[in-house]
Amino acid sequence: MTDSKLPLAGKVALVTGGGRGIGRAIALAYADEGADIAVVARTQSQLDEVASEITAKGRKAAAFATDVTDYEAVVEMAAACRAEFGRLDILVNNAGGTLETRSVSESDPEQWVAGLELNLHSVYYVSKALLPLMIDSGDGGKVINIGSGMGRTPGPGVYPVSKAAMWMLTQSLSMEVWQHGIDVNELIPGPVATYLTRGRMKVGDTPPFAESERVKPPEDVAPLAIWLATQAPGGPTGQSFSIARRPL
Amino acid sequence: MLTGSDQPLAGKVALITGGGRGIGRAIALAYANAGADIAVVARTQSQLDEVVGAVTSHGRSAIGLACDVTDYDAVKDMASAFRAVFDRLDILVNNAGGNLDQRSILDSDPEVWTGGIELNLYSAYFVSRELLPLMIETGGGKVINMSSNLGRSPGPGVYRVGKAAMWMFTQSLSMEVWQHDIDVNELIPGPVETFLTRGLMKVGETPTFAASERVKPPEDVAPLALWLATQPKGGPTGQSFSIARRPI
Repeated sequence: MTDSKLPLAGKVALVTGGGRGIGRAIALAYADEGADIAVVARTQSQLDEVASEITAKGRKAAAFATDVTDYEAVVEMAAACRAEFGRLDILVNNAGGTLETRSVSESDPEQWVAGLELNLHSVYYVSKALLPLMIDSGDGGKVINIGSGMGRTPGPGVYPVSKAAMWMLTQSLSMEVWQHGIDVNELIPGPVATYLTRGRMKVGDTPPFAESERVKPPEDVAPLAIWLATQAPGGPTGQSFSIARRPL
Repeated sequence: MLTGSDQPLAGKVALITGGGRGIGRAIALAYANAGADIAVVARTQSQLDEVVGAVTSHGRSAIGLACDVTDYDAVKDMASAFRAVFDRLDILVNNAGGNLDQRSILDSDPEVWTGGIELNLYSAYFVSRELLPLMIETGGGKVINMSSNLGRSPGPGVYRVGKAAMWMFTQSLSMEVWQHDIDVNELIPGPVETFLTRGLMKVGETPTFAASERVKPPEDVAPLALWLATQPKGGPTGQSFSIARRPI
């Protein structure tokens, strides 16, 4: 069932960290706009739930249980995606999280390094493994990397460092693939109530770090993700788009 | 007169500086097409008359306010003239700007240099200073400051310094007025063929400074300006939105 009037009809989108939170909200929103969806996460039960919600919308869905910090696993996932869909138009590098919030001097090196692997290496691995498919598809495409305002703000924890590195990866990658019609941008959601921020943020509340901010539900991130995914060829690339409410 | 979902700005009033031609004119017409009533501000009466005619042919009210926005007294008079016609302000686009004098600091003419700061920074400050009280009275709105990648990239010419200062002004103003439900963001159009850039760039061509860039017509800036103007309350503020195609 395809509705050619929908802006993402005929497109295939892959969303990492798509089992819950922001990734799930984006996956469902893209399905509403007509895309077929590959969801990637570690937890099979969450993947199955999202995949069934997508198929209920009349779209094709595939769930790939993958640890995106493991390059070998990512390469296998990319092969499965190619076999299942034969093309890729939109890649959302959304998997990420906060692992070590302590200062550099107090940090556990293993946790600190794992934070880089989760927020940076994952984006690199998935892009490296899947961009050949996007290039082969021949219609260009969009890469959307979910960043953070904390990546612009020095502070404790590995998260700011990893997101800063991911922003430079975003810009560097944009310059590498623009000739293939692939646009690469960052999306900064600002504070969102998700599984990862539970206990610290509640929808509608003001977060402790900025009075002007508003804690959003994951669904509030989807309109910007759609806007980026539906830009015409020659649209923005190497840019950062933020729906935060504080200067970054 | 159409209203409804294709008229998301119905009942709104927008003021656009530098609205007589180029990007400002394109935004004014796009807002009118979305249902807004329009005030255009520029120095040249004949250009204002043309835009007002185009807006009224959309079935919207429009006024042209001839004003040099680098002159604070003139801006005060302009604000009074605006208030005499419209009793509200919902969207302010600080678009007036220019001065692409490329000379280095040591080679520069101090009068031209300080004139560049007046044109790119003082103008936005003067107009915001005079018109935001009305926006506050009428329940909030959006301020969109037109800027440039050059404001993030050190080099010759006063334009960069003016735009860098305008970015800090944008962020500072956002923190001052968010409690009044006014969101203040920057829009970076990337290379656009306008009266100001004629001879330097042509639509569809690659500009000299970046192979990945594409010279756009002014109309290509309007969709992002419309997107920003139609964000719900609690949307982004203090952020920068760019449709450039090179890392800033």
